[in-house]
Amino acid sequence: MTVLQFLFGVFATTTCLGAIMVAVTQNIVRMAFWLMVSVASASGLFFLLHADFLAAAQLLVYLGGTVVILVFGVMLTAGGRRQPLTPKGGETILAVSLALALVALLMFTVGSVDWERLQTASQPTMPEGGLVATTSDRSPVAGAGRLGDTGHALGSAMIGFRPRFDGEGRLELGTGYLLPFEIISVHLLVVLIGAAYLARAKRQIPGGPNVGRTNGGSPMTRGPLAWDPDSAQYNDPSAQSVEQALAGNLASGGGFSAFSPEEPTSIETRQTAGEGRPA
Amino acid sequence: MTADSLIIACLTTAWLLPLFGTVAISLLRLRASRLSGLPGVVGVGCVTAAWGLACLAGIVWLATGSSEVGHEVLEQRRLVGDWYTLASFGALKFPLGYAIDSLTIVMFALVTLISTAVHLYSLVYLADERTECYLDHHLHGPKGEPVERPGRFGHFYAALGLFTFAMLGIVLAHGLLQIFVFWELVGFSSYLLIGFYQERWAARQASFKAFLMNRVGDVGFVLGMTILLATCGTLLLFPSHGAPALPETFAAAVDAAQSVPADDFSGTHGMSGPASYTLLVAAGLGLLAGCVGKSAQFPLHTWLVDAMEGPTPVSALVHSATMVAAGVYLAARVVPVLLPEALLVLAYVGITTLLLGASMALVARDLKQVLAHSTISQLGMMLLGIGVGAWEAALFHLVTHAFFKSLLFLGAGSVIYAVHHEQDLDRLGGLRPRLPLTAFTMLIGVLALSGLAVPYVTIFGESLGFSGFHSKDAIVSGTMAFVLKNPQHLLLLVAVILGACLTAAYSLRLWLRLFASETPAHLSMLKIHEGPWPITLPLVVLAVLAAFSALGGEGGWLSSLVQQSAGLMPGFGSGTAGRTFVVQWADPEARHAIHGTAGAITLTAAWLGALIAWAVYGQRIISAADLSRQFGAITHLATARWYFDRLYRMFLVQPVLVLAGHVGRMDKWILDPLIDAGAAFSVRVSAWSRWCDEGIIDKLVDGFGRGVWSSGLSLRKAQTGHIRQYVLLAAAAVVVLFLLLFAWMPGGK
Amino acid sequence: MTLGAYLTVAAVLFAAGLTCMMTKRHALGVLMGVELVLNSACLNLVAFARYTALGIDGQIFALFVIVIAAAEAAVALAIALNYYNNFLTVDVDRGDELKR
Repeated sequence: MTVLQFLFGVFATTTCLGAIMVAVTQNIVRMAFWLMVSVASASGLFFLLHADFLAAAQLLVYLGGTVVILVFGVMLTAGGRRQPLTPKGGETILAVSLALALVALLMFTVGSVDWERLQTASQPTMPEGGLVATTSDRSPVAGAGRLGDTGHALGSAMIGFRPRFDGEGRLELGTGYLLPFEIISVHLLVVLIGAAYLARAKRQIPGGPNVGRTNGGSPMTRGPLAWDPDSAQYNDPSAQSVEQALAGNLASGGGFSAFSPEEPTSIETRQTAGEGRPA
Repeated sequence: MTADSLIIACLTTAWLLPLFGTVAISLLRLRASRLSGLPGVVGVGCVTAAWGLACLAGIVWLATGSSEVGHEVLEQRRLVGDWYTLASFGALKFPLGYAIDSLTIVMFALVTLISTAVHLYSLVYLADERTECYLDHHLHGPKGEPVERPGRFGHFYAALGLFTFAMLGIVLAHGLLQIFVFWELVGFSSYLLIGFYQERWAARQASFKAFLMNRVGDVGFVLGMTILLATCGTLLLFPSHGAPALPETFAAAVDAAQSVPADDFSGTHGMSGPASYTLLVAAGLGLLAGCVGKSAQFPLHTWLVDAMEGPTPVSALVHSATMVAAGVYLAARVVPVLLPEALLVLAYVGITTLLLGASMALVARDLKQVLAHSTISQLGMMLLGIGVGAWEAALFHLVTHAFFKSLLFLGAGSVIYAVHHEQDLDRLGGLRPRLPLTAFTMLIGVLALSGLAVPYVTIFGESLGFSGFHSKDAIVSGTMAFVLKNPQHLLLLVAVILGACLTAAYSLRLWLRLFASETPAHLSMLKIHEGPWPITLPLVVLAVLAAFSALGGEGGWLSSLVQQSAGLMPGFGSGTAGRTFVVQWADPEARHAIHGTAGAITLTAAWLGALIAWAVYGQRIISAADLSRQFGAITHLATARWYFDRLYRMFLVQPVLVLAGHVGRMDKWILDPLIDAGAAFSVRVSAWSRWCDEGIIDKLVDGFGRGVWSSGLSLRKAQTGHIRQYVLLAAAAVVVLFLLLFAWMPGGK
Repeated sequence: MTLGAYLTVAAVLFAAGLTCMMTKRHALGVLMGVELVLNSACLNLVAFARYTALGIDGQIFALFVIVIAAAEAAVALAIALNYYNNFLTVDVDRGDELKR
C-alpha cells in the first residue's frame, strides 16, 4: 500500500461519508457542514488525479458556495418555532432503496467494463498518465503537459490553443474552447443579473384581502389572500406576526437594502395590513 | 502643408461652410425668435468666410503656379483626388472627390462673392420678414385685407446657404455622378427659394414649374450618364490616381465607333462590341438636355421668367448669376464627350434662345422680367460660344455676366425696395434724382451687358469698354472664325450680331425707362430714397467688378485664368469631322486674327441698338407705340412670350388633363361597377364559406379541443406538484431503463 | 487505485445526492443534493481525464461543470429566497401552486 493508495483511501472514505451524512442528517446546518467535508475531500481526490487547478477551484468555488448555503440555512431557519421538515417514512425507505439500487447498478457497470483495455487501446503511444507528457520542450505553451501543472494547459485551451497528441504521439495544437469560454462568461453574467433580479425585494401593495381572487386548499394558503398582480406575492394574514416581520425584513431587503427604495414603510404597511385583519 | 493641400483644404472648408451655416440656422430656429437677426448674421458670416477662403486659395494658386499669361503657355495644373468611394462594382467605382483647376478657383471666388453680396443685401431687403406676423400685400383675404403669416427670415437664409453649398459642390466635383447630386440639390434649393412666398399662387406655380422643367432636362442628363457609363465605363471627368477618365475613354469609344458602318443604328454589338456613333452623339445630347433645362434654354426656357416670383436677391444669386450658369458650366466641362453634331445642336439652341430672349426682353413690362429674359438670352450666347468651339470665351462671358447681371438684379432690387414693391415699368420712371447711386451703378451694369465701348480710344493700353464688351467680343470672334471655316453656318453669325444689337436696345431701354425722364411717373415716387449700406455696398462692389474685371480682354488675367483650365479638348482645333457632316474647328490663332473685325461689327451693331433705344425712350423722337405697331406681329408674339407657355399648355398639359378626365370617367363608369360586382360576388362566396366554417370545421376543431381537454383533465391526476416525487420518479426510471438495457443488451461483458 | 475506484466513489456521491434530492423537504437540502450530483459528475470527468485519452479536455469540462454549479447555486439561492418570500417557508412540498 503506497502513500498514494493510502491517501486515496482516506479521501474516498471522507468523500463518501460526507455525502451519505448529508443525505442522512436532518438539520440543515449540519448538512452544510457535511457537504463541506465531502467537497473538500473530493478536491483531495482531484489532487490525486493530477488536476491541481481543478482541485483549487473546487476548494474555492464549492467550499465558498457551501459556506454561503450554510449562512442562508441559518438565516432561513433561525427564529421562531416551526415544524420539523422531516420526510415521511415511506418516502425515505423508497428513496434509500432506489439510491442503493442505483449504486449497485453503477458498480455493476463499472465492474463490467474492461477499463485497462480501453485505456491502452485509446492511447497507444501515450506515455504513462493520460495528460502527462515528457515533451514539454515541444509544447507550444510553456509548461503545458508537464506533470501536475494543468494551469497553463487549461488557460491556453480556454483562450483557444489546445496542445494534444496526435496518433504518432506528436504534440499538436488543436482547436481550443474559446467559444464555450465566452458563452460561459455571458452565462455567468446572465446568472448574476437574473439572481439579483429574483432575489430583489419586491414592492407590495398594502391591499386588503378582498382585492384579489380568493384561493383555498393548501394549508399554507388557507384563508383569504391578497393578490398583488405586480409582484405576484401573497399577503397572508394568517401567518404569524414574527414570521411576517421576518418576511417583511427580507422582502424589503433588511439584509439586502440596495434593492429596496422604500424600506421602512413597506414593513409598516405589511404589518398594519396583517394586523388589520386577523385570522 | 504644401500649397496644394492648402488649396484643397481651403476650398473644401469654403464648400462646407454654407452648409454649416444652414444647419446652424436650422438649429437656431429652435431657440431664437423670429424677430432675431441672428440667422442673417450667421449666414453672412459663413459665406463671407467661405469667400475669404476661396480668395486665399486663389492667391495661393496664383503664387505657386506658373505666372505666364497669354496664349503661349497654358500650363495644365489640376488637383484631382478622392475623398471616399461611394460604391464599387468590380472595376466600376463611384468615388466622391474633388477636381480643382483655375476654372474651379474662379468659379469658387465668383459664387462666394456674389453669394456674400446677396446675403448682405438680404439683411435689409428681407428685414421685414423678421416679425411674428408678416403682412403679405400681394395677397388678399376674403375682405381684401392683406394676409398675415409668420416671418421666414431664418428659412430664407437657410435655403440660401443650402443653395451656395450645392453650387460650390457642382464646381468642386470631379465626376458626373457627383455633379448630378449637387445639380439636383441646386434645383431643390431653387425650388425652395422661388416658392419662398408660398402663400402666393403664382409663386407656388412658378416653383413647381421650375422644378418640373428641370426634371425634363434631368431625364436627358441621366440618360446621357447611363450611356456614358455603359460605353465608357466611367463617369469621372478628370483622371484621378491613374483611373481613366471620360476624355480618354470616350475618345477610344469614338474611334471604335468609327469602324462601325454608318447605317448601323443597333446600338452596341452583342453588348461587348463598340458603341454606335449615334449612341455616343445621344450621350452628349442627353447631357446637353440637362444643361438646357438648368440654363433655361429653348425649348425649356419658360420657367426662368416665372422664377422671378422669388425675392429679388434670390433672382440675383440663383436665377441670373450662378444656378443657371451651372448649365453652361457643365456644358463646358463635358465638352470632351460632345461630338460635332451635339455641339452644332448646342450652337443652334444657343442662337434660338439668344434671339427669343432678346425679343421678349425688348417688350417685357415687368422690371425683373426684362432682366430674366436678358439672362436667358445671354446664356444662349454662352452656349453658342461653346457650340462653336470658343470654349474659354463662353466661360469668360459666364464670369463677367455673373458680375453685371447680379449687379443689375440687385439694382432692380434696390429700386423695388425703394418704391415699395412696384415692378411695372409703365409706373416707374424718373428715379435718377432720388436714387443716384442705383442709377449710376445700374448704368455701368447696362453698359457692360450691352457690350458698348468707345472705339479706337485707349487709356493705358486698355480699350474703353466694360467687362461685357470684352467677353461678348470673344464669343463673336469665335463665332466668326467658325463661320469663316464653315460658311454654311452663316446663320450663327447673323444671329449673334442681331443679338448684340437687341441686347443693347433692351438694356438701354430698361435704364432709360427707369431713370431717364425728369418727372416721376407716379407722385408717390417723390419721397423715395436710397436704401441703407447693406444694399448700396454690394452694388458698388459689383459695379467695380462689372466695369473692370475683364481688363485686358482676352489677354487679361481673368480670361487667362479661365483658359488655363482648357485642358484636353479633343475636336477643337483639330478639325474632327462628324459622321453626318464635316465641321472645321477654328483654332485660337484664327480667332485672334479676326478679333478686330468681329469687334468692330459687334460694336457697330450694339451702338445701332443703343441709338434706337435712345431715340425711342430717351429723346422720344420715335414713338414707341408706332414702333410696336410697325412690328405688330413680332411685338405681339414677343409680348405673349412666343406662345410657348400656351403651346406647352395646349400640347402637353391639356392632353394629359383630357386623358386624365377620360380615364377618370372610365374608372367611374366601367371599372367601378366591375369592382362592385366582384365585391358582391365575394360577399356571397364568403357567406357560404362562413357556413362551411361554422358547420363543419368549427365542429371538428371543437370536438378535438374537447377531447384534448378531457384527456388532460384525466392525466392531471398524475401530477402531484411535488418536486421530490418527480425526482424520485426520474431516478426510478433511470434504474428501470438501465435494468432493461442490461437484460437485453447483446454481448454483455 | 484505478479508474474503477474513482468511479465507485463518484457513484456513491451521485446516489447520496439523489437521495438528498428525493428526501429533503428543505429547499436548501435539495440544493445540496444537486451540488453533490454535480460534484460526482465532476469527479468522473477528472478521473477519465487522468486515465484515458480524454486528456486536458476532461478537466476543461469539469471546469465548466464547476462554473455551471456556481451559477446554479446562485440562481437556486435566489429562487429559494423568493420562494420563502412567497410562501413564508422553505418546504418544497408547499410549492405546488402550478398544479392548480
